[in-house]
Amino acid sequence: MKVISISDTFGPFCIASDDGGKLYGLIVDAIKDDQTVELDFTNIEVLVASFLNGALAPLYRDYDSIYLTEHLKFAGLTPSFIEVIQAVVDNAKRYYRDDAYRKAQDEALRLMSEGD
Amino acid sequence: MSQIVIPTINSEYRDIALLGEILKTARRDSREIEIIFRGCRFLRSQAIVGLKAIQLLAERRRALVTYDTVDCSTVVLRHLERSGVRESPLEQPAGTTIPVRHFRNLESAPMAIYLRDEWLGRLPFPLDPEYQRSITSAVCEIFDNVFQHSQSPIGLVVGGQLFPNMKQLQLTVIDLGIGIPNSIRRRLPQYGWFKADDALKFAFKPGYSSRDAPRGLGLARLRNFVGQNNGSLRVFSDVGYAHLGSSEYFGSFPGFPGTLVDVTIPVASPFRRLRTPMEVIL
Amino acid sequence: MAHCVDISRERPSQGERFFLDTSVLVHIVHPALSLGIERQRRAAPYAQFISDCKRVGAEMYISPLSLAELASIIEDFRHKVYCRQHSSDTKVKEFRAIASERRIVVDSIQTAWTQAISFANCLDHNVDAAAVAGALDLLRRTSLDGYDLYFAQLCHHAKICNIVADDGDYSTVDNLIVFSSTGF
Repeated sequence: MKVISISDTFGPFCIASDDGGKLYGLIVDAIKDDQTVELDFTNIEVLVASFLNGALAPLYRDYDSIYLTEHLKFAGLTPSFIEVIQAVVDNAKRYYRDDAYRKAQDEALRLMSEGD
Repeated sequence: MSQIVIPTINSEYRDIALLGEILKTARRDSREIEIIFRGCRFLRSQAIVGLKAIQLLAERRRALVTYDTVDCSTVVLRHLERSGVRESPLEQPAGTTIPVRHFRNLESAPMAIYLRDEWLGRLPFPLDPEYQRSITSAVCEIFDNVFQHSQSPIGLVVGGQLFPNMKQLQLTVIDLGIGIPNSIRRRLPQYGWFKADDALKFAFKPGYSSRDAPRGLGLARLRNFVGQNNGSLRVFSDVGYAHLGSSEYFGSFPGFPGTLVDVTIPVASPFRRLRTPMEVIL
Repeated sequence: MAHCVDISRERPSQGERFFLDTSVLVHIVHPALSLGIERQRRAAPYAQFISDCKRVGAEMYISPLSLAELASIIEDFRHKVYCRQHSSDTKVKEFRAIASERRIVVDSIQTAWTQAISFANCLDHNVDAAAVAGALDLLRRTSLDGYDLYFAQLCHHAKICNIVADDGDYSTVDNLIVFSSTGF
């Protein structure tokens, strides 16, 4: 199993979506060869949706839940980290699997930005 | 004739051990079973479901079952009538007792309807549909396991109770099969050396499988659900025992002729956050 | 008028202080608002800037009213999604009474706020008669509305001149430096 220490790779603050995108690349490199990868969040101080949308959300475009459950593990998670990861994962799952939900979400966001 | 004495049976470890002994007695081949309630002040749902299982065993071998309820409290009698284990001359109000049901075969639709209408339907408020779906599908794992692995001669029997003051809903499922430890040892001979608690730990591992062996027992999902929602799960199977919830314990048990699964979940107001996450579900 | 800077070309320094407008917070903490290529592109400069602030030791601030505005945005989003999914024009009060949706909204708000206070400090914010008078004054002189009127005052009282906002209205406020990617 490959272990990625998030704090060693990105420092203690997981905020930038570009950093999330780099993590996505590292994950895909490992799991596409049927390897399991563990994301270790020990020593992380800040973890937010913008980073996770870059790192985890696109996985649901490319893989199904069973494959991800088998190949992606987490370590060093606090309860608040679990909550934000779960929120991002749940939203990504619906967005990429449910056409009606994706259309509804895209339309809702379009309407909100028009009101800016 | 077999005589089975029913005292007060609560829901503690030792009470389930007593229930196990009672069920072993009921399994003995006998044309007549007399069930004597002696000093029986209270029966929890586990014992109520167990009594139904005895009735079904008797039916199967066309044995006669009689009841001596002289020394049985009215609370117990009412509980037996409301659960449907004993016929009532009058229609009983629902109360907090969940009716006992028997499923002989794997029938997804009736089981889901039972869980939705007769178990979750006991709540005084509508449950969040997403939470309801999660509970139902987690609990259906138990039903699936019985029919796939247990070889229970009576299928399964299910019942439960609502505890409104504690804001808890409880469900008991009993089968009289070979028990989870024996099922694992038989299906996976490479684990023939497993003790009962090792086998139960194995049964709760997420999606264990090898290409040549059947899929895992699917109990990991139930364990996750209970862990994430401040619930509790107890399994008494053959000589193994597991208690999962905020902490986990696997150990031995004097003996249960089959498997008893006991699930308790919190059912607070729908606007309160129910999930205390323990791991990510991908 | 405020001084406006392109956030993607600026780097914060240690000890600098920034107020984060809710228009930026939502891009960072809400799962839907940074999902997908377009939205990630919009969110990325703010996420990078906030990340840089943490790394160099710059301070970031929000207000208790940020929670109120965040809650309103999150509920509005879910309401719009619900109406589109069900092809209905359910009013907000009816939507709020749907237990399953309410639970999703409440969970989303709690998760969003937990994230926000993990990287920003929540200032004490006294919304009293003087604040109301100040808000009315700003309303007359600028393009700000709603919560922004109070955020601008808070910055003034806390002597914070830098505000990170995805909202051009702050450009009409004197003595502010607005860090944004809007309009660049």
